[in-house]
Amino acid sequence: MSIEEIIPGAKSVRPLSPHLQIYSPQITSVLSILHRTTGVALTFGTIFLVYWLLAAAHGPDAFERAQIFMGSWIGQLVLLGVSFSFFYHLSNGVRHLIWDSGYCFELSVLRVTGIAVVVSAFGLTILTWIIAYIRAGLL
Amino acid sequence: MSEIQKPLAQASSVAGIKQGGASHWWGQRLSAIVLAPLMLWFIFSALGLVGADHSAFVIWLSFPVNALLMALMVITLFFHSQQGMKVIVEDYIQNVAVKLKTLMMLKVFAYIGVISSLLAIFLLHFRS
Repeated sequence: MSIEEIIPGAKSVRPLSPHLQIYSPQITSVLSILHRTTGVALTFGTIFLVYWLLAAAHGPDAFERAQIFMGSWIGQLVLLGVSFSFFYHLSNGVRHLIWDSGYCFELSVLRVTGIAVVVSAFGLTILTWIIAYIRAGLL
Repeated sequence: MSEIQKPLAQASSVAGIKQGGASHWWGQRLSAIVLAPLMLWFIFSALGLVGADHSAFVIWLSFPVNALLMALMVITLFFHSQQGMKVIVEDYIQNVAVKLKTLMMLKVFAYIGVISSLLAIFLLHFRS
C-alpha cells in the first residue's frame, strides 16, 4: 500500500535505491549489459539472414543483389556488427553456462573470465574477417 | 487475508513460476547449447560461400546435411532470440498493455522469421 492510498494528495518520500547513473562502470556490469545489447542486435541481425535466404529462393538476380549489398561498405558494417555481437554473445554465453553449473563466482575469477570473453570476442571476429577477406581475394 | 496475499499474487503473476519461469530458464539454456555449434557451423559454411554465385549456393543447399542443419539452426535461433527478447521486454516495459503487445509482436516476428526461412531452405533444397 502506497502513501497516496493512506493520505490522499501526499507525496511518497521513501528513499529510492541508487539507479544506474550512480554507479561507476565495472567490468562485471558492463559485460552483463553488453550480453543483452548484443542479443538485441543479433535479433535485428536475423532480418538480414532471412533476407539473404529469401533472395536466394527468389532467384539468381535477387541473390546477386543481396550478395552485392552484403559486400558493400554498409553491408559489411552490418555484418561486422553482427559478427562481433555473435562472438561476444557466444563467449559470454559460455561464461553464463559455467555460472549456471555453479563455478567461477569468485570476484577475482569473474574479472579473469570477463577479460577472456572480451579477448575471445575480438579475436574470433578478427579471425573470421581475415578468412572472409582471403576468401574474397582481398587479402 | 486477500490483502496480505495480494503482493505475492502480483509478484508471481509478473514472471513467476505460474507463468513457467523454470521451463523458460531451461529452454533458454538448452537452446543456447544446441545453437552454439550450429551457429559456428553456419559461420564456417558462410565463409566458404563468400563471393559465391547463386548456383554455388543452390548446390551447397542441395546437400541434405546442409539443408537439415540450416533448418535446425533457424528454428533454434528464432526460439532462443524470442525467449531472450521476452525477458528484456518483461524487465524494461512496465505498462502491462504495451508489454503484452510487444511480447505478441515478438512472437509474430519469430514465427514469420522461422516460416519464411524454412520455406526458403525447402525451396532451394529441392530446386536442383
